[in-house]
Amino acid sequence: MLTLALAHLLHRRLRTALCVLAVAIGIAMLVVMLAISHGMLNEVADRVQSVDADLIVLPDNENVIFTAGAAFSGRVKPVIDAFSFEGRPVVGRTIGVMLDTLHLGGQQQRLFAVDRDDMPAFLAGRRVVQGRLFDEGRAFGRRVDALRNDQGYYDPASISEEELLPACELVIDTRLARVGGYTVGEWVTFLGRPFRIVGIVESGVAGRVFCPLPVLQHIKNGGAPWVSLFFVKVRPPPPGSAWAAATRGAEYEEAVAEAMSQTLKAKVEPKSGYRRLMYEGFAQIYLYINLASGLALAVCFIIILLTMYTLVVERTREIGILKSLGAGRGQLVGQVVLEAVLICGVGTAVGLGLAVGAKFAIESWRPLLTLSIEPSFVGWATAIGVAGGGLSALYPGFRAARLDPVAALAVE
Amino acid sequence: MAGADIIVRAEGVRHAYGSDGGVTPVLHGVDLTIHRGEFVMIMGPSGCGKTTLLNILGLMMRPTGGRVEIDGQETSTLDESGRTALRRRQIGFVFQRFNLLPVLTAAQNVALALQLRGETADGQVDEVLRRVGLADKARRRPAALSMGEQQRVAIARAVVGRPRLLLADEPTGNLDSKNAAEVLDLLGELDRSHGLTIVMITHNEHLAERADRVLHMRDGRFEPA
Repeated sequence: MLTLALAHLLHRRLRTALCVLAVAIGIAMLVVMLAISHGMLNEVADRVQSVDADLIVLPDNENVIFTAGAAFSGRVKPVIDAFSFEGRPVVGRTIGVMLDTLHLGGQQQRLFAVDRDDMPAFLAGRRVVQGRLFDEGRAFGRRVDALRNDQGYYDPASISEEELLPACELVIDTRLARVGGYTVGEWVTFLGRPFRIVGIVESGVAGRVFCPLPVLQHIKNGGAPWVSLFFVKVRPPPPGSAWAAATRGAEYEEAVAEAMSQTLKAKVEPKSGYRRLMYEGFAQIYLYINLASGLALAVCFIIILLTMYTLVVERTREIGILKSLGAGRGQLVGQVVLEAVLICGVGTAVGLGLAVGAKFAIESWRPLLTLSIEPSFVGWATAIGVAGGGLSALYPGFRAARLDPVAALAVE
Repeated sequence: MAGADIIVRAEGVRHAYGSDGGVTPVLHGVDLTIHRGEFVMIMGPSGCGKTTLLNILGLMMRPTGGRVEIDGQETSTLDESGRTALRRRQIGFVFQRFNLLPVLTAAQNVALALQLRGETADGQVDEVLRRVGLADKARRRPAALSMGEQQRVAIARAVVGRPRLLLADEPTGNLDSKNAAEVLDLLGELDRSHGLTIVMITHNEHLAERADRVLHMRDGRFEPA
C-alpha cells in the first residue's frame, strides 16, 4: 500500500508540497524556539560554570537570571569566610560580585563587577588577547580600602572625579568585541559616565563585560561594600574521610551548600546546579514557548486533518474500488494514516532542515545569540511530527472505512 | 455437472431499498445455484435487479431476506470483516467502468489485489498480464491504455489472486464489438483453463452463446427456463 500512498502524493504535487511546508513550518518553529532558549541558557550556564568556584550564594527567593542590585551587605562575606562544615573550615575563597547591565553590541549585556585580584578565577586560564585587565595594580581598590572604616564604609565625597575617571575601565570578551567592533582604548558610556575599554579576553568567561567592583560600588552604592552574589571556592574534603571518595565530590558540595544555606538564610547552590537554576528561572518563558509551539503545531495538524478529509471525499469512488477488492477497514484507515505520516515525516525532515538553516541565519544576524539544536529536539520533533500526522488522519481514515462500497462505486 | 462443487447457492434472496419513508423491493425471493467452472450469464432489462443480485453475491451488500452461500460458507452469519475477508480471498470483480486506480500503472493496479491479501507480487503480476496480452504495457497508467486494454487489466486484477468466483457487471458495456469479443474470449479461456466460475451480467443477447447457462431476470425474479 506504500506504492498507492506514494502515487497519490506524487499525483498532487502542489497539494502535497503545501502540506509538507505547513508541517515543516510548525516543526521549525518549535525547534528554533527551543534552540534559542536552550542555546542562550546553556551558553550563559557554561560561562558561569567556567568560574573557578564551587558554590554560588544568592539572596533567598532571588531569580538567578534577573538578579540585579546588591542585596548582600559587607557583613556577609566574613560569615562565609568563617563557615565550617562538620567542624572544619571549608571556604578557600569568597568572591563577591555585583551585577549590572549596560547596552553594548546592540543589546543589553550582563556586567560583572569583580575585584581585580579575583579576575583570574573568572578567566580560568583564558588569555587577555588585547590590552590588559582593569585597575592595574589594584590602585583604585587600594585607594578605597584605605578610606573604609571598620564597617567597610567611607565617605564617597572623599574620592574626586579626577580620581574616579581613570578607574572607569571595562574588559570585554572577544565575541562582544567582534560584534560591536570594539577596540582597546575605545570609550563607551555607562551609568552616564565614560568608561574605557582597556582589555579584551577570550570568550567563554562568565560575563561578556567586566569592571572593577570598587568602582561600581562607589558609583551605585556610594561606596557601600554590598554585592549581588558570591562565588565560593570550597576546600577539598579531608583525605581519608567518607567525602573524599572520588564519586562523592558533588555530594560534598551539595552538603556544604545545604549547611551554608541554613546559616546564611540565603540560596546556596553548587555551581553544577546553576544550569538547573537558570531553567527554573525561565520556567514561565518555557511555558510560553511550549504553548506557542503547541498552537503552531496544532494548526499544522488541523491542516493535515482537513487535507486528508478532503482526500477521502475526493476518493470516495476509489475507496469503493478498494472495498470491492477486499480492503478491510483497518487497511483503509491504515492507507489514509500512511499518507499523512509520509507527509508529516517529510515535513518534519524539511522542518529540521529549516531549523538548521535558521540557526545559521540567526547566529549570523545576531552573533551574540547561541542556538543549540540538541539531539533530543530532533527526536521529539520527529515523534511529534509523525504521531501528530497519524492521529490527524484517524478521523478521515475511519470515515473512509465506514463508506458503503456500493454507494461509493456509484460516485462519479 | 457431474462431480462439480456448488460455488454459489442463493435461496429466497430478497432485497429492498429505502427506509421507513418508503421501501422499494428489488429482489423477490431469488433462488440460484452455480457450480464450479460454470459460466453463467444473467440478462434482463434495466432495473430488474441484476446488479443488486451481483452485489449481494459479491458480499458488497446484505440482502434483506434469504440466505447466500459462497463456496460452502454461509454468509448471513458473517460480520463485516468476515464478509470482506471472504470477498478478498474468493471473489473477483470486473466492472463496466473498469474501476482502475488512475494513479497506478497497469502492473501496480494488478499487484494491489495481492497486496490487499498480504501477498507479495513475485512473478504473478507479470504472468497474469502476459496472459491477458498486456505484458508490454505493464508500466502504463490507465489513461495511456485503450478501453479494451483497461478492461483486460481489470480482469487481470480480478483473477491474479486466483479467486473461486468472478463477478462481471456489464464488462463489455463500454467496449466496441471487437474489444467486447476479445474480453469475452479472455473470460471464456479463464473459465476453461482454470475452472473459474463466472457470473456475468449483460444486456447483450448476442453474447449468450458464450455462456454455459443463461438466466433471464425480470422484476426481481428469474424467469422460468
